[in-house]
Amino acid sequence: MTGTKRHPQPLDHLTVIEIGNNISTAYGAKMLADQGAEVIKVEDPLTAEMDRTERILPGDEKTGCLFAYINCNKLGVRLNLETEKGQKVLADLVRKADILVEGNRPSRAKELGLDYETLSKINPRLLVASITPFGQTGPYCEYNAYAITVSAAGASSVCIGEPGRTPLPLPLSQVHFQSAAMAATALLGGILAREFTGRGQHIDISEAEVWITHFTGHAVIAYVFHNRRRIRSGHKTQALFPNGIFHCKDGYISLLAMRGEQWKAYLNILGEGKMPDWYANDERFTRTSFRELNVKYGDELEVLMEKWLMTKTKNEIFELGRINHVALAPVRDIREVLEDPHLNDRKYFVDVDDPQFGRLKYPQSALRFSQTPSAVYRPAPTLGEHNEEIFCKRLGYTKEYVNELAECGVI
Amino acid sequence: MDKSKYPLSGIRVLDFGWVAAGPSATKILADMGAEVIKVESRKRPDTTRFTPDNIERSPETDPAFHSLNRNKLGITIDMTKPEGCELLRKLAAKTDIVLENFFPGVMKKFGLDYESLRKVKPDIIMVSMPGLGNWGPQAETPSYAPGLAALSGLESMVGYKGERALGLQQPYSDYNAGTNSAFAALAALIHRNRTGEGQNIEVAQIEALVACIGEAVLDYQVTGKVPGLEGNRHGRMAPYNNYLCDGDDKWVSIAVRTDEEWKNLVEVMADEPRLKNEKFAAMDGRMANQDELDVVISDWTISRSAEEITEMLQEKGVAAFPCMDIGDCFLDPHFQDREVFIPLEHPVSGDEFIANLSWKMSETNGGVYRSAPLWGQHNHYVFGEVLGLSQEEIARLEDAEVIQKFQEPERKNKG
Repeated sequence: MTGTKRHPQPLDHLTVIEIGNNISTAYGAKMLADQGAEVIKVEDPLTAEMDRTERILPGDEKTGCLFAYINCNKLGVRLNLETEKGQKVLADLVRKADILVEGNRPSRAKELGLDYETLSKINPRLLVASITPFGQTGPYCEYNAYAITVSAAGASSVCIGEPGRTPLPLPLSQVHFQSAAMAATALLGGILAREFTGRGQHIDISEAEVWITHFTGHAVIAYVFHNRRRIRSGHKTQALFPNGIFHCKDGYISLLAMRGEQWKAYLNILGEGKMPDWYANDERFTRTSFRELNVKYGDELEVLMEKWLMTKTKNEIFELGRINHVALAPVRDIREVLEDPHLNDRKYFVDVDDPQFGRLKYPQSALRFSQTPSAVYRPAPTLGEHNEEIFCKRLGYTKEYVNELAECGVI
Repeated sequence: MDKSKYPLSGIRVLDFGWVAAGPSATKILADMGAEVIKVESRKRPDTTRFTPDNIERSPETDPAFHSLNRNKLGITIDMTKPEGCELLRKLAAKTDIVLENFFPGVMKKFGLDYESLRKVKPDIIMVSMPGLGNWGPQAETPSYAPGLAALSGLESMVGYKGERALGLQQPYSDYNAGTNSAFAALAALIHRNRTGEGQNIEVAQIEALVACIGEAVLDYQVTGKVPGLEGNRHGRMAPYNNYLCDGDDKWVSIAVRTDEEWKNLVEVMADEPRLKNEKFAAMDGRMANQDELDVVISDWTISRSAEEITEMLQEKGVAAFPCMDIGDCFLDPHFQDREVFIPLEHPVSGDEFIANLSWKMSETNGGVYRSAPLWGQHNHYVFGEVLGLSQEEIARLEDAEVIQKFQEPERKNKG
């Protein structure tokens, strides 16, 4: 079942217009909707079909659930912005809104009347977030990009994969979701600023820059001063502590020992209560400082470690790590995640009835507020589902006018 | 710098964040102009003061620490002494937001959990960022970013098709939880400003990660297929890959979503007749023959530079970009034009470059206005001016080693 919207929520008082179907704009607006904002998703009737069937995972012919996931808790209308009447409807929506989120190339946004200059004249209190691959200014501001392109530009892909082989992007829509989260965060900063400025503003989010500034840019000083470059290093990091993904009986186990005492505790697990003989009796290991072990003997240690790891399942090793306070974690697949007793005990997945897919368990907002809990209370809208509610009830259009707009293809 | 026009001007944050998750959340708040007071102890240093990139091995020379903690004030206090925790409660009483990413139960042990702090500041906003949550059967599990990515299912999708899982090999969970927690703190602040009510917020990092792969969780329920290693494959786009270019380990990403983009790509690569083959004309055909398509495109890219290919394809609206490393980004004219990296002087390390804000707001942007705090650098400001303790009282607390005295580090000779 789909839950009911609970009050109060932090963003109850805000109305958000989301234009188009970009993954980043949709997820950003979803984050606002999850905390109570009324999000009106405005879809272009011409491109909505393709966007709604976006399938990220290969190998299956069924429509993917991406649209259903990132658009729950929203209202949906159809609107063709390329018509004069459509522009008038947009202006009426904008007058009653606090936030508008869009993701068009800057020149295209201007064509559609979605540039900040135009929008701020209609509503000076409006906050506009533009989420584009490379931002509103600079030589690449009109460049086209998808997830793999942004992952490449954000200095991320170059670090994922085997040395010398094809770099890999971050899986699924990570780059879009992160730009979305940063845009939503900046928008709330803008809402707080509006409390004392009384005015809206334009927020420029570059997806590549979100990666560089928040995820990968901490390495820039090491690059500038020490010419240290991050490169692909397969299943182990190039960092100095033992850190990577290793084989075990039924899959993989992730290990990170940040400090020497954690490495010792891990060795005690491998030796079932004491340091294993193959380690204790080898002076090369015992005489090498913890921080140099991985660089000097990483490959050799891996072979020796895996002899024991291969005799245990990932859940057995996970449990031993928990008891001994060592960060050992199983690499779980999606089914295992959905069935995970811990997440289910915390009721992280909630039943939602989607009109197309039926009842599915959705991951809900990870933000658990004590006073203003969020809920999934509405599945993603069907195309134009809330035309009447928004245009008649909210904007006060007559039924005749709405019919006229529909007949000439505006809505 | 006039901070009064920053979005969080006048907001104070007591920051118990350490390693990367907590600090990346408060970095966002500090960038927006909040006064963030980073609580540290010399007895148990923030591990980010000693990352592998810290060549000089001084607590004041770690580049990652400088990046994550710019704009913050720093105090050093011994939390194992009851008087230390009492001081922190008094500080919390003058604070809007408290944020922490300790192991579950640690804040309670120190008498600094939400219930304790609410008694001294009824409308306090508290954000906790535990790895697996503060409650539930596996809450008390040691966790770092890579293990959390493994537990979330994310790592099971990273690797070449048909081969072994590789994982992201970057602390994705920390920064993901950071943004989510900053967002939560701001939402709570908006709620407090409207209603006068504070609250306690739990952002379990594992849940914040599963939220990032939500569509796969739903897709699995519809198709019954467990997604595995997909390499560079996408369910609706072909070509979609990184292709080897001229040069040493240089790659260009190319992705095509519409038939129009495909037509333009074929035009750009006009000297490659194999692309005109009928089987590549529509998306279904390109998807079905993706391996072959990748070989043909690679044959074309291998003799050209990634930059040249990017320019040619983007000219025609086709998504392409070189696989950059952070040095490439640093030198790139576009990112330089947008001031993605800016110079910042650090008292010990001297002139450094640091990544700029993650957004550009037209009116109240915030900024980078202060280098990362030295150990205890702002003890006197925080305990004297914020808390109102006399110099004598501060000296007494320093002698009792409750406040760990600021020691001026050796400053780097410049020039």
